[in-house]
Amino acid sequence: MKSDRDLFLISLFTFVTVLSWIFFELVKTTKTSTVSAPVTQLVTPLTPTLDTDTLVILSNKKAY
Amino acid sequence: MNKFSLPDQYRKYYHNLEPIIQKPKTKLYSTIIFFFLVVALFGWYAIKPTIQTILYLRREIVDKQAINKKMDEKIDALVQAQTNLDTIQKHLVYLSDALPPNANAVDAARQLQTVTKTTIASLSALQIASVPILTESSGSAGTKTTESKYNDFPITLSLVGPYTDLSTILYGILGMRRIFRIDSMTFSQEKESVGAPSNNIQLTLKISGFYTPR
Repeated sequence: MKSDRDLFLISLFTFVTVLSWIFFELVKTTKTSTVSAPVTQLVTPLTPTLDTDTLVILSNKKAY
Repeated sequence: MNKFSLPDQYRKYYHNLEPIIQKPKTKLYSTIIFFFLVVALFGWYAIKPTIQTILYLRREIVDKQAINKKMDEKIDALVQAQTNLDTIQKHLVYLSDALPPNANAVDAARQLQTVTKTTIASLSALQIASVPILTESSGSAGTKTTESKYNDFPITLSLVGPYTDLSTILYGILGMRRIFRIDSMTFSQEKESVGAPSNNIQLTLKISGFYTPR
């Protein structure tokens, strides 16, 4: 009878371990981004405004 | 002997096991144990990959939609930037004048000389530290400033003249399109050959010229 109980506990712990493992694997899959590093670099935002004030200041300066 | 029956030599073991297997408690335990093991095995090899694939694909769709949106925004920004660049295209030469791609030390000296020629003050000395004629894009020469966005090189000027002219020269240097930074200036009274002081002032000027290796 004791061996039955031991086998039951072993199978129960195996079951719980496997379920936890599966759960954490799935959480990891959900949280991990599928975007590669080069693509992330490509989509970095770009500010299209140019500092025209500096150009105006430079145009007012004297060239020798 | 039936061909499916156990051989006589093993039959005794089955006979010994049979009463144990037939016990209700053993049956119950066996069912539960095998249930757990089968579900664990099935979950690991069948359910997990399936759900993982589903979640991965869903995540990929979300990521791709976000990337698509960011790409659209970036394309709009690039179009806007190109328009802005076309607008100021004719003024871009000022940038090259202000920060040339290499030291252009001779041109810098010529420009400084031209500034001094606008007054009656005389340029008694002009020294430029050794600077590279051609610069690699890495900016290996000159003093690197702010992660090598631009380099600088020191220039020393000695000027002699009345204060008003020296002042005009200083304003002229500051008003030049080519960027120079005045690091230090030293004023001293010029002595004439007979030893009597004159009205002229000697100005020693240390400035830095800049360029951007591209």
